[in-house]
Amino acid sequence: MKKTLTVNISGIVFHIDEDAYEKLSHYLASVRRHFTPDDGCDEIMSDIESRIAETLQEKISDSKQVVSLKDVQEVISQLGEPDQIGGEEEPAQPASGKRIRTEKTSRRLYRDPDNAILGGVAGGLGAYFQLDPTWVRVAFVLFTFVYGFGPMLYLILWIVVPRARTTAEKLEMRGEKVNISNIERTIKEELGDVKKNLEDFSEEAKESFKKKSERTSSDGSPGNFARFAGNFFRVFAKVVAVMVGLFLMFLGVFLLVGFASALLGGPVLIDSDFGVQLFSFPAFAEIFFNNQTFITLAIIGVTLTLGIPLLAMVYAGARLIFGFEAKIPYFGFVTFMLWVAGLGICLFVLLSGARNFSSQRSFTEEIVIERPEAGRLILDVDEQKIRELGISPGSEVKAGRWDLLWLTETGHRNGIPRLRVRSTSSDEIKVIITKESRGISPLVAMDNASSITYGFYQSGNTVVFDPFFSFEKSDGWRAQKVFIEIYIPENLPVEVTDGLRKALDVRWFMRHEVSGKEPEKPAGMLTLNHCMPGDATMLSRALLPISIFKAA
Amino acid sequence: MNLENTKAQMRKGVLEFCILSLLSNKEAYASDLIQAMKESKLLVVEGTIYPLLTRLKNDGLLSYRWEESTGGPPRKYFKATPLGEKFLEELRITWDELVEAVGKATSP
Repeated sequence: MKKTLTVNISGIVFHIDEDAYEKLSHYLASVRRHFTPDDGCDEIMSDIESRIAETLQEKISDSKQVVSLKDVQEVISQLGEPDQIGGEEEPAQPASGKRIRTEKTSRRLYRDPDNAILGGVAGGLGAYFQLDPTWVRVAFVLFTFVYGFGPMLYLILWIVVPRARTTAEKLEMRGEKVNISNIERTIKEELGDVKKNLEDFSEEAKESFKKKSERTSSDGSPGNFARFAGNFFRVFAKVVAVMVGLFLMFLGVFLLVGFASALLGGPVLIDSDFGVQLFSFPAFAEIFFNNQTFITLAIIGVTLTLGIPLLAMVYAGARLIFGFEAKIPYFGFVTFMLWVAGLGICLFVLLSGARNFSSQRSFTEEIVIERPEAGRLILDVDEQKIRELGISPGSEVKAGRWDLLWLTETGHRNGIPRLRVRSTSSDEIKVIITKESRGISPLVAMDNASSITYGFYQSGNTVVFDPFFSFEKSDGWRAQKVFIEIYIPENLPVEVTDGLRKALDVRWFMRHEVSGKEPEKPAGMLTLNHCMPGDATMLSRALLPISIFKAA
Repeated sequence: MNLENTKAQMRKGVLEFCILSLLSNKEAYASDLIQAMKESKLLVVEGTIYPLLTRLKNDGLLSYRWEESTGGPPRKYFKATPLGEKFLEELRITWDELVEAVGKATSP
């Protein structure tokens, strides 16, 4: 038993075996490829088809009603192979001096298994762009030095570009040169179709108009107009598709390279090597997680959730340009499931990360410092410590508050304390230091808060504050904060140095008439003007190190 | 250079001339032409004739009319146009000259 199809060849109906149909339609398509619209391709094809119909009719009888593969093969051998038909015509062409024939088979991108070292990608690209594959290989190797771009592109192409299996595919791979004249020709062909359809349309429109004048019924014209519009749209869509494809591919590869470099980033969060700011995702994750498992999970999750759409983008772009399709079963489904899994991992990691911030604890320490015998009290910053972190003193340290978190060469993370200057009616100068942190539990939060290191010391009538507070890198960032409150007696003039103002977050809270006034612009000097300096007794140099405050 | 190729080249050169001759003052459709040419062994595969007919028609040397046929698809009956006849006359002169010249050149 065999399945048959019904076909219409030149207006005659035939029953034809499925294999015979395949053979015949393949034959017609390959003959058609030998002619261009300039030749009157459609006309030649319809002539050939009517000859086929005639010949096949002779082979059909009441006892044999179905066209078999053998019949089709006979017809084909009678009519000749496509290159015989197209080829015999050729010598007449230069004589007529009209046009030089070009091969109509268009080139497609395949991987070349006959010319492969790894996956045949370079061989295929070489065939596509008519280059020696060796140069393509050299290019891949050279691109390896650009953030590993080469191997990644190679892998992508290996996955998405199909292998040339059949001879036809191999021929197609080496098919037509991609050059300006061929692009021009392709567009001309497309336009030729459009023109022809337009002519058909106007002709049929005329006819239907005639009919209309006779009796008010019309048909055909809407369909034709749609066909014309469809063709016009097709040319336009092709151009747009290639442009969008190029854009997608370049953007995708660019983002992938950046993404990969972020994922493979080293311990430094923002590395300014090569004149490019390189962000390191592992270093970023380390800020939130002190557990290597979570960091690894975060990397896997982000790789899947962001990497898959980026790969899809490159794939979509390449498809738009080269028009191939990956023939991997369940490719889309598996990719989607991986993406969902990645999203799940990200969510899990995010929630676990958020739990690290669920509790908050703080503790406070109060220190009374000696009042200068004479002159004003100067509040300064320890510039040496600013220099130690590789920051030049005098720069706006506090502006880079987030960058500080990531400077971990010393094994510590740093933060900017907040300094509040308040006035008091008492005669004592009092410093209150509050350390605060979050953690997964109150206990952990307390532990995190207590392991914050911050100190200041007094030297003469100057109080020198550390520019940063710091905590162990292994503690992770848990929104650690340090608040310093310094209470100044009302009759004591006080000066805040420029360096301190630039380093710390300084605010003034004064209860008397100058209250709320920010430090003066240049020197940062503020005198509580209704108070006079007290008697001038020199203070011995006093050092008041405030070391680690442990919670009781 | 192989023999088959040379033969094919020779055939191709005169195909146009033969078709025009067949269609001079006489109508015929493609299958008639194929029959005639096959008998004289000028045509190896039938398909060759269709592009040739279309080209001659497009160049204004041939014209055609449609005719219904019993049972088969409608047929295109070709005929040489006045321009085609003129063209054929030129070709015939050239051909005679050629035959004479070739006869002289190849005779021992």
